[in-house]
Amino acid sequence: MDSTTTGKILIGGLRFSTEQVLASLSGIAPDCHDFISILGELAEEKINLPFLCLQAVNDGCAAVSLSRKDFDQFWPDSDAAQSFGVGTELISSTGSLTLFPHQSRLRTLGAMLEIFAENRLSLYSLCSSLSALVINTDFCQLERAAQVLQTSFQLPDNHAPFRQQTKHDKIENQTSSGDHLSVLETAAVYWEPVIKIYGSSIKKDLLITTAYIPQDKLAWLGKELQAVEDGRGIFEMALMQRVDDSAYKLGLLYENRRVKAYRRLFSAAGDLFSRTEHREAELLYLHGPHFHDRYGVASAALASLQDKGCELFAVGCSGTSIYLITPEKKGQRSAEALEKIFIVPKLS
Amino acid sequence: MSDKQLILVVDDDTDLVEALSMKLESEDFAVAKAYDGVEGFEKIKAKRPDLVILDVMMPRKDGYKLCDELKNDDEYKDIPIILLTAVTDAINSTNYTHMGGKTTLADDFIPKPIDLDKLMEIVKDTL
Repeated sequence: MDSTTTGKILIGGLRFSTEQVLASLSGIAPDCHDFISILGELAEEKINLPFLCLQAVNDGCAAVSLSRKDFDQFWPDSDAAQSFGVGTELISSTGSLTLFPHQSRLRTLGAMLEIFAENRLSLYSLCSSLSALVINTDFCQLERAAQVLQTSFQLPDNHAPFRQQTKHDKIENQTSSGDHLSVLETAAVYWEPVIKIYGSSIKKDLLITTAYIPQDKLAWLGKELQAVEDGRGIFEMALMQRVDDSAYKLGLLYENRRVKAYRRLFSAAGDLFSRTEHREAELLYLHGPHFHDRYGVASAALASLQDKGCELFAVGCSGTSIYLITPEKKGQRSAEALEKIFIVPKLS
Repeated sequence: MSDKQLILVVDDDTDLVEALSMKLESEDFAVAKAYDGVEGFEKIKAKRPDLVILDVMMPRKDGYKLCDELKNDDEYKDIPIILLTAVTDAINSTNYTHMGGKTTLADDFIPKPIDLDKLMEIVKDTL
């Protein structure tokens, strides 16, 4: 059962990140060379990226989050935007709101977008993982966002707290107060030259549609997504980024067999969407390299793919896993290019 | 009412919960999900699963504590628990090691990152 008698969508929970700085990059070249160099520099400085969303086609753009603490430490005085290159907007106090599980339902994605739009909550970027939808908004708006989301989403009784205390919080709190807090260690912080993963999988016969949407049509988009296939529409991956003060760039990945339903959606949009492009694609999914816990994972992946000349349409790293959208029939080649840095350990 | 065996997956890594659920459902198990130890205990009381797959590093109540509580409770001590133990050898400062996991009363252990096929073998052997 996915909804209550009140019509709310049942979910497993909501989570807030700690305070972050969001770098919103535009004008990224199709080969992503400069962007990958930036990721390499951040990895060398041991800076972890809890969120990364890259749309490399139809005018490349990317959103990258850093913890506020890392940002202040790395750029105490200098112009950070310069480090990220031309066309970077730095948003200084953001937070990620994670809703899970989305169960691949457009109804869930659409409802979330509609609520954000109707409540005038900032939406800087969005990326889905296998289980979750992650939205970057203003840090100070997280509580309000969680409150208004509960008008359409039903949380379980005794659900986990939205704001999770980390081992780092514990250390800081002990330093400031001298009290011992019984905060549990929930994240491992480490780095390995070879990154262990649970496995990888390739999903084929997909389409990715990218389009530019006026900001004031976000609620309309949310409603339309909820209506796809009479509320039973399914997506494979969703990416979204605010590209300027008036528009979002949307990337939607879906199964080719659902093309009619999506065609109706884009047809209904008419002139509301601009520069709409469709591409045949595959999704390469690396399960659980604990992307958000350790630095260098995205850099290692994208640099390896670049070295092997593997083209990418989009990349999403918003939970523990990495999602790479490749051109049709290129997923396997990309998987092979990553074999030396991502291994699946076997038990003896 | 389904006659499928019910597996409860308890982990704060939502992507792993989803991946495990998909794998278990493809093997014809029913799946319940919880995202920390407190919620996990609530689900165990409410649903009485046939087996629990339990992470160790979680907010509110860790897997060691939940395992200990269940195995010392006459009501729940017979529910098999597979503990997902230490993340990697590369962590040099953690309270949660694979060796630490082995000192618990869990029925079996599997280190992270998980080999999903191996985990399915353990699940079937344990039930």
